[in-house]
Amino acid sequence: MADSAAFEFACSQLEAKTSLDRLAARGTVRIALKQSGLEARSITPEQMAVVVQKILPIELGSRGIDGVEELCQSILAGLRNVANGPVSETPDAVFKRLGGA
Amino acid sequence: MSGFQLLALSSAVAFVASGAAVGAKLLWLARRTKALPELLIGSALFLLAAVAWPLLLLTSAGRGLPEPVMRGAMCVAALTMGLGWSGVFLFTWHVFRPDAGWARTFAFGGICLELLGGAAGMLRALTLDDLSLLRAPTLAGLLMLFGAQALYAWTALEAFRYRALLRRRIPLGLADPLVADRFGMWGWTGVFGLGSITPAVFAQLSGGDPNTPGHHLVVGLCGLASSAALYLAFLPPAAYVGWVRQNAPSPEPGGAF
Repeated sequence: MADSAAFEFACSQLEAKTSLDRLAARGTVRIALKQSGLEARSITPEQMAVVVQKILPIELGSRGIDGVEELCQSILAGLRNVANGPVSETPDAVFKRLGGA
Repeated sequence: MSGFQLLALSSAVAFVASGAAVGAKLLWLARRTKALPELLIGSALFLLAAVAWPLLLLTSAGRGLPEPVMRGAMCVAALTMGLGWSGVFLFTWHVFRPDAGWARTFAFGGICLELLGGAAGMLRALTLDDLSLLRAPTLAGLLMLFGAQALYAWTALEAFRYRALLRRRIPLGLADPLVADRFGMWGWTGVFGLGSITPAVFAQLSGGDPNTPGHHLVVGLCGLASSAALYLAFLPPAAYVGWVRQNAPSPEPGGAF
């Protein structure tokens, strides 16, 4: 299954605005997602925004990237224009509903 | 009846009560949402707990019942066991791995095993000459139990994997602690469900007696634990909900949930 639009957007921004190549940019975002318990194929723009605010700056800092705060702010701004793709229903959405009355 | 037999019987009654209640609740939910997952798991639980298990208990206890009743009960029990476990296979595949080829193959292999085993059980119930052998172990029954063991193990692994993901999301405000706990309880339902049928498999493979006190103890404890986990997963009392939320890590400020 293809990765989500939010994941692709964050990776492309890192690749374009830092010295990280495609593989390193995608790897960095994947590590941030793993720490957050999220998956590249199903992450939404809203979830990616939280990762970009809370986890990605630490990962980028540990890789010696300069201007982390500005970079993350620009990714956050761009994420607002990323539409949720046709993602199949996630297990947590199903289990949340199964607990309902 | 010994204390161990009473424990095993209590666990069967507990599963009937909790499985039927949860199954009915999820079917009611499916009626409103028209969504497939609740229809699959609601039907499966209801068939297993409200139809198959009571009929199996009936065939075990009701030796004085008329022959058509015994044959009919065993026939419907075999059918609903096959359908019920097939429904859980479909649920696990559809919810956790809808795009994985291996999961589709595994689920359909399991469904074929359960449906063929169920059909063989029905045929046996209708054609067996000596009714006293109605509950005797058979190869088809053993294969159904193998399928169910694989199903319970798969369900538990998927549920625990997803609970681990959600636990990492909770501090970020990206997951509800109660939903994470629901995955955990569903996983424990699978683990203890596996435990409750393993003595029967072990006895059949080793040629031993399936009615020893040790077997009854394992079946009884695992059955009770499985029923409790199932109930807490889908019909949690308010006190339990409060306890789960109270003991969850606090989300950091600015989280999305």
